[in-house]
Amino acid sequence: MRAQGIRILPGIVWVEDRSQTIIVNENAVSSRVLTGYEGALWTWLTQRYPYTRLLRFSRLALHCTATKAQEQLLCTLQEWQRLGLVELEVSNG
Amino acid sequence: MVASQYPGHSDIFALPVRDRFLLYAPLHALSALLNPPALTQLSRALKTSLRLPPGEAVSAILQRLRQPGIPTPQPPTGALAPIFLGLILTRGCRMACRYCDFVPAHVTPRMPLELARQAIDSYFDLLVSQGQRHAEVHFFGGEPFDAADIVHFSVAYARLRAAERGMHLSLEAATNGFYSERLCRWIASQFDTIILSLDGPAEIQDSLRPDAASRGTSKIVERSAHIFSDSDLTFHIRACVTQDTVARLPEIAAWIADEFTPDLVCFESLTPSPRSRQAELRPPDPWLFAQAIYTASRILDPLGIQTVLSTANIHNCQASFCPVGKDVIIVSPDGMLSSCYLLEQDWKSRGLDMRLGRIDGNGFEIDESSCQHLRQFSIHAKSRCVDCFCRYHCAGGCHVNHPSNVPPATYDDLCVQTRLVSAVNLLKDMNQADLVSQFLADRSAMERLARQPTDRLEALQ
Repeated sequence: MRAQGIRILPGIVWVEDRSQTIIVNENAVSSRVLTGYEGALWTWLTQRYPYTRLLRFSRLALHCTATKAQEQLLCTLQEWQRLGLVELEVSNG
Repeated sequence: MVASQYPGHSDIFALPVRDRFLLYAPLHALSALLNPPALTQLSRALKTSLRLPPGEAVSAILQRLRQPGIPTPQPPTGALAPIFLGLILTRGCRMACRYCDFVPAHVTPRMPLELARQAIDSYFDLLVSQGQRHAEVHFFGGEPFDAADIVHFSVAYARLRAAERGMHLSLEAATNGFYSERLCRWIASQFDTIILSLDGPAEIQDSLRPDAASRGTSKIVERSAHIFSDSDLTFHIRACVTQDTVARLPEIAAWIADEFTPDLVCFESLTPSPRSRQAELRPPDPWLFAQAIYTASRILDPLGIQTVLSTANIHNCQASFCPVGKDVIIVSPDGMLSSCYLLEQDWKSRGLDMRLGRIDGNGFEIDESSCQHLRQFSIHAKSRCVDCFCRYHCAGGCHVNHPSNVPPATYDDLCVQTRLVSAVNLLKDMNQADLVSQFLADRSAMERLARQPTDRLEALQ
């Protein structure tokens, strides 16, 4: 399974500084602080890298196999989708 | 250490400034203006253990000079302890500055992502093994942000590693500012220090620093400078000065002061290169440069913007001017480790070897003898600088482009410029604005100071 397209949803704003990323969901009036791998992934996502590049960055950053990196990446993206931060277009390809 | 007639007081200098002398002891952080009889009295007293009566003008100076100063700057010893990790992600650049030998971005190799990760891992491992809590990563080029994907990965990865190990991380980059607004805003949010190359208003910038298609770059670079100004990072502007722009330094300073809010403006003389010679660009006249940078500083200083010539920073005593000799590890795109960010061919052509080792899958492979070899690149090996009062500030300048194994006091234009600006900086610190103006208007006085064969007080007749 892989995410073909990833879109940050309208109403999501964020502030990235040198130690953390704060994401505010204006629709749900909620916020979330991202650090560690989640913070790194949000940085790359906001720079509009495609899924394949996110996967490569993740594999390198997590020092793991492509399969493990894919699991971790999808898990994080799906959690963000559940929170209403992103919209994923997932395929089984 | 230079042998001295003054027991325990070897680095005391005296510079002629019109009808007085500027006494300068860098290791005591002491400067004073003395008339010739007072200087003679001080010189005689230093040669003996005599005390001067408390009322004597020079007795306080004498007392201070007899106290120990800071230690003479020396190269590091012991295990390699890098003050930062430098990453050269690419040697290429999308700009085509008329004085720069960087190659077009598409014809030069980029650092593989795996190598960037390995360099960061190895650096953090080294710091942890030494109990260090602070990591510092600098990005050089070429233009580092022409390899933006590697910067995006490296910055996020370094943050990840620093957080895992409970370390503080600082990030710095030297950049041309020629990229999208989105990338620029991200840089401003992530980096601690940015050194932006910007030579002046549009007419100067577009003439000296066009893009590869000879189009002007000022519009985009100025937009970047505004973004950096509005951010909370430490923002430096670095302007290259040529023979044609030196007289315009005050105008450039006024423009920068009007447009931006940098913490510091660094004016540096053009370093001749094959490309600059082809474009018939030359370094500025050093006498004009000293006058012009002072006038520029009178515009910038009141706004809290430091005006700097890097070789004339009198507030820093060092044994080497640059990363070489300071245990810095700089990683080239091909994995070579050095402490010099110039091209290998540049230092090889001077018969120098600046290699520190290599990085591979197992991490840094640093040759101990290379480390010791690089530590020898210090002021203590530079015969030209033996009797110069700038020896612990300029430290002889660039080891590659400014070879200093020539007889003492063989001062070239770069030396003249550094000596004049350093002397003026000392006088400025003593609030001697009138004397500085008189000195800079008196070419013979400037010549006497700049050409003095030895600055050592003990050599003064």
